[in-house]
Amino acid sequence: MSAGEFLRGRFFFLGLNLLPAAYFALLLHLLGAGPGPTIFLPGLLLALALISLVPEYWGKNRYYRELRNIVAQLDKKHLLAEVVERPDFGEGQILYETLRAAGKAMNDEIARYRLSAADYREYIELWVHEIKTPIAAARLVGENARNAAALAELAKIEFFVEQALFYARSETAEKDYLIRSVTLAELVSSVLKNNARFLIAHKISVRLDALETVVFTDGKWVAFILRQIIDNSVKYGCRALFFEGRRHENSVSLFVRDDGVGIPAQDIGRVCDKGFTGDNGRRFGRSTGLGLYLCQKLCRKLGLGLAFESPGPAGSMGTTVEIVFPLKEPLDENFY
Amino acid sequence: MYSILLIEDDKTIRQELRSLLEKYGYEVITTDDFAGAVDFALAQNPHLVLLDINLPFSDGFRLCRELRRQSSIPVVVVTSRESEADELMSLHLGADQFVTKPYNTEILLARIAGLLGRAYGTGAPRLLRFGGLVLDPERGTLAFKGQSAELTRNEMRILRLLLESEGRIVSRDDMMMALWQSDVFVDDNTLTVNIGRLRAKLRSVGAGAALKTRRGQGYSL
Repeated sequence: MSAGEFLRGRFFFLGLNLLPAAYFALLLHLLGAGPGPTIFLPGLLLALALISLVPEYWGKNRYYRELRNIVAQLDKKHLLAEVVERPDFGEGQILYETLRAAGKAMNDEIARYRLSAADYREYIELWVHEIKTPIAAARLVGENARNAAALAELAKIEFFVEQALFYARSETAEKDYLIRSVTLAELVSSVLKNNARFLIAHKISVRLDALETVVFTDGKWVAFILRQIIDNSVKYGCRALFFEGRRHENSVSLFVRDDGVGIPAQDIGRVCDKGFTGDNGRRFGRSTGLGLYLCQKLCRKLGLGLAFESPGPAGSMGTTVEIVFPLKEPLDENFY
Repeated sequence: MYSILLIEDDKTIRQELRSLLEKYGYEVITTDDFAGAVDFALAQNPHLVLLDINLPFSDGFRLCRELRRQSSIPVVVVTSRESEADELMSLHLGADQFVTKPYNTEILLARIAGLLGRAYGTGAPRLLRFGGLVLDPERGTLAFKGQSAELTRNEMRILRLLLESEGRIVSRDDMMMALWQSDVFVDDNTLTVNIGRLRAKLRSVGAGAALKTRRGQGYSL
């Protein structure tokens, strides 16, 4: 609060003090006093009035300056009322009480939403869990009846159900995972086996190279991420998948290369945006813009890097997805 | 013949698993009484227990622990909760294998066969026979009317599948599925090459006509 701002608020008070000062000045002038006293005495009156405002200005200025500082530095601004001190002047106290009431209402609201989000997440998990039994039953029926078409449709259902589960979990991933040491080969081969029917039906040929390196991660999450990447490769016209590991000084990279249509240069930075489908999405249809968004979100939560590379113009040489695993056990890094 | 006790509360799954397992030559026992499942298991004394973790009355984790306390029957735990923590939990409680729902039947069958083989592996190798062909899976050799030939791992997997199907048609996709489950991720061309080689070996032991191509459907013996 600048002095100017403060004085503007005291306009009436100052005006009221100016009137008697002017009256005195006029009187002194008419009485034939010299210019000295004519200016000095009313000036003294005005100065006294101004000085009487100083302590109030000083207190308020200090308080509001601090308030502004706190707001600027505070990460969660709705917690302002919890942090700020109670002022010692009346109008400030009204402000303080109001702030506290508003802050409390906000916190209650947030708590309510947080609770309902957790509630919903729990419901989704339960639901996914429940729906797996009928899917498993239907799948067995399909297997026994050797109905490949039904099995393929069931595989799609499973894919979407899985996506829903991981979407629900993605907000609180850090609570839900278990880091273990696992080789890249184990990660890749479990994904390939679990999706064998899907890949074989699409006549995808698979090559693996240099996957002996051990990484520390949650296999289930990475399997989900790989599944999304493979699904995209197949969706966008790939005939061959190539998995390759590479060890760097502080990290291990897993490359998934395909020979599909690739990602147009103008889209490559946005493939992980939620709801982004791009040129390819429109051409091939059935793109939800969710898979890669979720992959990136999960990678962040797991402390993994995720990068896309697609050489050449659209329609040429496929896509390379790189997943980067930190080599140290992530526990001693501050990514929680 | 190995017997498998199936502890599963979903009726359809129970029926379908039963017919699947019976098709693969297992004797299947089931029960409705989950509260008394442990006693039932001990009384029946099957070769293996296939246990669903989510049961009414008593959860599978407890059942598994109880069972393990009194017997060393191999246990395969089935669950629909797909998390590493659940897997660790089941293994801690004494389960020997862990399968998540909805399972891949190839994986399930492979785990069951692996576990049974490890637990009751007989000294004498199990030979597979059909139409005069004899396959020794442990030595990887094929014999026909006194002549024999050595097979590679892939050729053996393919022949094994054909022998087990006993004359029924095996599709190319099913062959590839079987190979993939043993970590051999062959593609269409490689499979064609492998089948060509297998056929040549069959010819070398004088059984050249044994492997028949069923156009558009697959192969059969």
